[in-house]
This record gives sequence, C-alpha cells and structure tokens, in this order.
Amino acid sequence: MSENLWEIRRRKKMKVRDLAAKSGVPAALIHQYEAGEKPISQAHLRQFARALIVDTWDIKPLSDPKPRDRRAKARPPRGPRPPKKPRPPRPPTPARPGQIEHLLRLAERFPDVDRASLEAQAGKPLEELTKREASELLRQLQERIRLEHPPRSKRPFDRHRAYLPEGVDEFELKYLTAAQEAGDVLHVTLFDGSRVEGQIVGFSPYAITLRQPDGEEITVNKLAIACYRKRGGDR
Amino acid sequence: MSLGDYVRYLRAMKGGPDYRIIEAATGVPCRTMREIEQRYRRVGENDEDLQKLADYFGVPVEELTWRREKWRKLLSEALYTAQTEGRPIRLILRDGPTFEGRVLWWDLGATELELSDEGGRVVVQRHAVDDWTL
Repeated sequence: MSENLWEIRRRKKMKVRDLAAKSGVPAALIHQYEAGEKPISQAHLRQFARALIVDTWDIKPLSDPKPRDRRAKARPPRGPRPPKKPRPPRPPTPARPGQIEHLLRLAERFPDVDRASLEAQAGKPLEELTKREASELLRQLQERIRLEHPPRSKRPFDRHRAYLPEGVDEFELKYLTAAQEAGDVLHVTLFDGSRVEGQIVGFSPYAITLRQPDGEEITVNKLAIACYRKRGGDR
Repeated sequence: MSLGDYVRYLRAMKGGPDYRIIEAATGVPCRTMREIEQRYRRVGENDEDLQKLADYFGVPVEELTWRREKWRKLLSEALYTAQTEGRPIRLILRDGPTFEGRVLWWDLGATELELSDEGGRVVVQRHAVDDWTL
C-alpha cells in the first residue's frame, strides 16, 4: 500500500533538505509535493524512490497534507499588523573634523569666502555644524568651483599621465610636439655630460628619438637626459 | 634629486636589476622599492632599508639619506612658488651645470627656464635636479 512522501521521509529520519540533496529535487518543490499542492511527476517519483530506497508505487503520487499543514490551514487568517511605533529622531551627527578642514581649504579659493562668512551662512560656529550641514556647505562650494572653473575641453594634448616620474608630462608634451612639428633641433645633455644633437623625429613617454646631422637616428632614454635646449627653424 | 630619482639612476647604472632581484639580494621588499621610486611624497623612512640599498649599489648611505629630504613635491612647491611669484630659481643638476632663471612652465617630468645670465631657454629634467634654491 502506498504512503505519503512525507511519511516515508520521516520514517527514514530524513529532513526535506536531506531528501532534496539525495534526490536532486528542489526542497521548495518537495514542500509543495508533501503539502499535496501538486501531484509528483513520474520522473521525480523515480528520483524519490531511489533516494528513499523504496519502490515508486510505495509513494502516493498526490500526498495528503501533513497533520501540521492541516492545522495551518485551519488557522484563522491573521489580522492586520498593529502600526509600528514611530522611532524617536536620532540626534544629528556632528561634522567630521575632515569636513571642516576641507571646507576651509575650499574657502581659500574664493576671496569673498572665509570662516566668518561660512559661519554666518550656517548661523553657528563651524565646529558645531552637523554632518549634513557641513555636507551642504561643501556641496555649495564645490558647485561654485565647478561653475567658475569648468573642466578643460578635450584637446589633442589630453592623455593619461605617464606612469613613471621621468615620463613626459603635460607641458613637456606640448613642448616636444611643437618642436617636432616645427622641425626644431634639440641639443640634449645627458647625465654623463655627453651631448646629442638632432632634429626631433618622435618621442614616447620615456624616450626621444633624434635624427643627427649625419642622418643617423638615435633614441635617448628620458632617464639619461639631464636637460635640452632648442635651436629652432631647421626645416 | 629625490631619493626615488637617485635610486632609479643607481638601478639604471647597475644594468637595471628589477625589484625582485634587489629584494633577493638585499631583503628590501619590492613594495618598498616601488614606493621609493614612484611616490612624490617623502619616502624612505627606514634607515635599515637605505643602508642595505647603499651597500647593494656601492654608495655611501649619506648619499641616500640626504636625498630623502628632497622629495619630489618639495621641488614642485619651489617651482610653483618661483613661477607664481616671478622669482628666479637656481637648479643644480647632478654632475652638470647650474641653471638660474625664471620658470616658464613646469610639470611632473620637466621644467623650462628662461635663463637669467646668458639668455635663452633650457628644459631641465626634474629627475636630474640635485638641489635647488629660491
């Protein structure tokens, strides 16, 4: 005679998750099968039979609800939850010292803004500001900086900064680009005192290539260069 | 010249051993080497590490310790002051000439000076600047 899935499982002292792990059927689906919400499919019947070491016909395809489930179904529906008591408002968090410091640093950028004007705007000493008030003041100053000093437009010189300290940076990039375009001759002095002279034909973040008067090209590592001068106009 | 620039110079003069080779030889971690060579703030606080590096590169440790006081941001500050206040700056290059002049521009890699005495302009590599006076 066939039995309910949950009866066999309990007799075998297995939990739903054990049966799920052993049979490969999801635990949520096993709960539905055991509550009699849907009939067990043939494939799952075979998987349960194998996991529980019984025959497929020992398992009822549609389980009767477990006794606890019967009680649960008989339980009257719950009424609406009582409304939550409103929590007392939290005391405001004082501003962090870093916020005040940053505020004063930003204020230095404007001739008309100083500690006194900020305190007048806030209506209290800066040390008594809350975190939120300090954030608001910072936001206003940052907005003003953004409006008065808009970010530079994309130009051909804009690029990622070189990784190593000796790399070509913003102004040197402009300088070398202009020199290359004008066909200028660079007189380069190296660390060891030796000199290299030539028309600049190219450069990378860490090296400059020059065409020497004899036509030979030489690439000089930036790290080896002490200084250089330009003698322009050699086109 | 900052400590980092000098260590990069010494490493290049020794044939360019990488950080791992130096770590194996001296015990100075790669992380410390990277920090010394690439940071712009003051670095190289550990005297023991500097002694090991000095021994490895065969230079007196004082050559490293005094350069610790010449960190890169200090030179930036001097160049910025010279440019904004229009004051001449004197750059003393390692094993090379001394240039004095007005700062036309500067960035993280180099600066261009309009020379005070002989006229003309010169682009000086920051890693070549041994010392400076304003």
